Amino acid sequence: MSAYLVRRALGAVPMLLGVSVVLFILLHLAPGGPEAALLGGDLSQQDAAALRRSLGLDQPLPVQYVRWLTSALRGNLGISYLQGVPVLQVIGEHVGATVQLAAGALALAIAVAVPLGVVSATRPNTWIDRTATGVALAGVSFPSFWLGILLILLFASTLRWLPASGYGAYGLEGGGTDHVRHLILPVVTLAGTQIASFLRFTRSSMLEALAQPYITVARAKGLREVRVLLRHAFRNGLIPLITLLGLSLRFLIGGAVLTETVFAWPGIGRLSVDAVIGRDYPLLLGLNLLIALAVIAGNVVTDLLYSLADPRIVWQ
Amino acid sequence: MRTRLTRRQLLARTGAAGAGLALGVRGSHASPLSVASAAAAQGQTKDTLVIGLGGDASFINPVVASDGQSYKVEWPVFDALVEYDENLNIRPALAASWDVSEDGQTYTFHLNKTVVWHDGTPFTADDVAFTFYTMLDPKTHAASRAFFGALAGFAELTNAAKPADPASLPKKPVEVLDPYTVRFNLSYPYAAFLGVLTAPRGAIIPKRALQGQDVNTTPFNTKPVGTGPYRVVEWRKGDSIVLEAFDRYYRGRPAIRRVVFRVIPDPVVRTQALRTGGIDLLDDPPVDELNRLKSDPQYTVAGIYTPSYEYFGFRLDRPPFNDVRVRQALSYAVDFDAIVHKVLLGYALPATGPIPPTSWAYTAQIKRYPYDPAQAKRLLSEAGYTPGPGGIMQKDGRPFRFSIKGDEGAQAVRDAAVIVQAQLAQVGVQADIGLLDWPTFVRQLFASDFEVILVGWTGHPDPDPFNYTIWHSSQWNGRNFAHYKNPEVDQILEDGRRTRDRAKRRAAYVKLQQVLATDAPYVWGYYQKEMYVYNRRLRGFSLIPAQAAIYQSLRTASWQS
Repeated sequence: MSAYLVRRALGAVPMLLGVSVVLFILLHLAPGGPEAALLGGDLSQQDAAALRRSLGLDQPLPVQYVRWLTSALRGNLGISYLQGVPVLQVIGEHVGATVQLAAGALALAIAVAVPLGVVSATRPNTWIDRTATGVALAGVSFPSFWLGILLILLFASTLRWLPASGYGAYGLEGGGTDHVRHLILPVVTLAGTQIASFLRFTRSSMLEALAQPYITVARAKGLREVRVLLRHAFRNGLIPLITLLGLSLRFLIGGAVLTETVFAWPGIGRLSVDAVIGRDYPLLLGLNLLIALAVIAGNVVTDLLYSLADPRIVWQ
Repeated sequence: MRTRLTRRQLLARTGAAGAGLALGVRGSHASPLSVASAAAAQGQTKDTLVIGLGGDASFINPVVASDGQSYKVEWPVFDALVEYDENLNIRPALAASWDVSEDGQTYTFHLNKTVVWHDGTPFTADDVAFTFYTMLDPKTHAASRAFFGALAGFAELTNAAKPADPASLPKKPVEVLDPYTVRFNLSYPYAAFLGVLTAPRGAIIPKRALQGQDVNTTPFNTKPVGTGPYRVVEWRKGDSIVLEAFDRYYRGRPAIRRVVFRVIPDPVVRTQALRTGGIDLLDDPPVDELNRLKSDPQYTVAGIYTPSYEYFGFRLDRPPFNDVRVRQALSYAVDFDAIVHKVLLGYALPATGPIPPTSWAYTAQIKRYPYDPAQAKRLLSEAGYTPGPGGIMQKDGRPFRFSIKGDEGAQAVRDAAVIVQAQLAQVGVQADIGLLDWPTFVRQLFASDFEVILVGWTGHPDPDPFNYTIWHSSQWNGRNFAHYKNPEVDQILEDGRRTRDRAKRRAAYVKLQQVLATDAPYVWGYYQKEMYVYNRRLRGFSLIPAQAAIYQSLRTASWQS
């Protein structure tokens, strides 16, 4: 397995290089520049020119790229224009919040969707099935900012059970429980948008698995229905779910802009939007490379999980 | 141009979509949901004030920060030599007193000797000189540099290609006479000089903490040391900035022990945070919530006209807008009263010129062009336009058609553009809406790459800094991107900046407003009120008519027991 991992890691290098070249070109092709955010309303042409020179933006694009690359290869992704601190530090300050939110949402979505999907598949076209699919469809149809605001109105403003927004107590007071309380509403909101896809994938792959001859055989052997479902059908129906999970890794790191915005959650999603609007090229490159890395890692993890779920799949 | 924080732009969108949902929901009491509100709910003495902002600061360093949110946090952290009071008179701050030479070109400041920095070191004249030489250095990403153009040697020191060494200058802009006396030398008499020295643009940064560092990237910018009433104790990026009262503040320790700026981008959620007690002061409230909040006895709703205004502008040196009759016609055709009432729900005043009603230079004598489509059509036909196919006015076979550029991230701009488009259609002018994202728009603006724009100016409490750079014909490469040129206005602007006699200055700026009213270089939009909603038990805020200047008065704020 380690040989396989090394090969995949080496394969990621040219891919990341390619991504960085394309990103670099695309970012600089976008109209406008960082002077709008850095100098704001007090801008003068002279200051804008001085700023571009000071940031090295007056150099030809290939020169700028080579400069960035040589520094990046030494582990320095540059300094964020908007915050004046190293890109890795900026990402480090926000990635924790995003991972907590996304991992929480993913866990909740799976915990709700997978059992519901299994139940729906075993009782297709009954009221349970229709209710579960209906709720899931509603979840994916509601925009997350709207669902988020409704939850805030209900649980924070009216019932006053949970805080409306924010990351948790600031300053010296407050602790773990306060933070968890702040996490609940955004996690539920974000999970709401994911439950539908997990549920539908689980349901359809379970339906497919349940129609296979080996299920009939298992039942004919007199196995208990729970064992038939979990051991024989579910395990074989896992592959599409694992694929979906692997794809979610990108989103674990990339952040959820709307949910983070509504709940004032200091994650990567909001940071990315700020970086785009501020034309913070080093930060944008850093963030997008991180996401590219997450996609590659997601694929590797998916491949590894495939063979755990299905021993017929081997790494080569 | 308005210094909008980028975050607000996205948020205006999501917020607007959700704005209608908050209807009818109102909190009736504070709840013990957050540390800050716990004490309030139980009626104890409160020592924390939580402020809800729409976006995070970028740098807490007045020399390199340019955005509106950073300004708000900088007010309580950094003091300047002088400051404005509620009536826009200058009063002492870090400088206890000052003398101005007869010719108005030398300002000598006697510093307050009791001032110490947050790290305990004394504040001296070296810090003042360091601040201004850092700002003038072209390597510094200083947004406010252009405000100090009157300083001796400005052109030489700020030359990006070959910046001069201050030691080589015949007359230095800033001289340290002794540890507590500092002198500024100007290259011409400049009446607005004290005005531009006010915070946050003129706030002083410490030499000792910053010397030898790259001011654009120093860690100081997140853990600053200032001379203000509050010091920064914690900054959780994107979430909150915690300030604590500075015990050794030279004007006395502020009453509120702790001030927290919380970042809550969505305006609807920010408003809910006020109702649930998560915040005590709501910054930048959504206008559609203001009437409800106003009728709630729990809150004080306060507002002030700052020097900012919005306008509908043209590229003035090219046809068709180089014809005054066309500009006047559009002034009759666009009804900003409707925009003020429908979009801003009355929390704004239709503008009559570039100077807001809170300025000493404002005159109420000027009347707006009334909304009069018939008069607009008459003026257009005088200018040679005739109705063409589809009712579109045309001249020399070309239809009167243009694209309105503006910031697509600003909700008010998007709403106003639609209204303006419909009103122009009434007089046979076809306007397309071509809003752009902020960085793209700013670049096109300063490259004068537009025909028609819908945008605003932040302005300055002194009428000189913005009006000179917007209207003087020498400024076509800067803020005068609309390419206005009028020798009479050039002269008025020179008169306004060279005399320190306020009556004479006022006469000059009244004349400016009159000339601009006739010349109609813009269709004047509106002065928007800067609004705040806060817990009614908060006392001691003063509304100074400058951008976000309520935060200057944090040091006098207190909780009523």
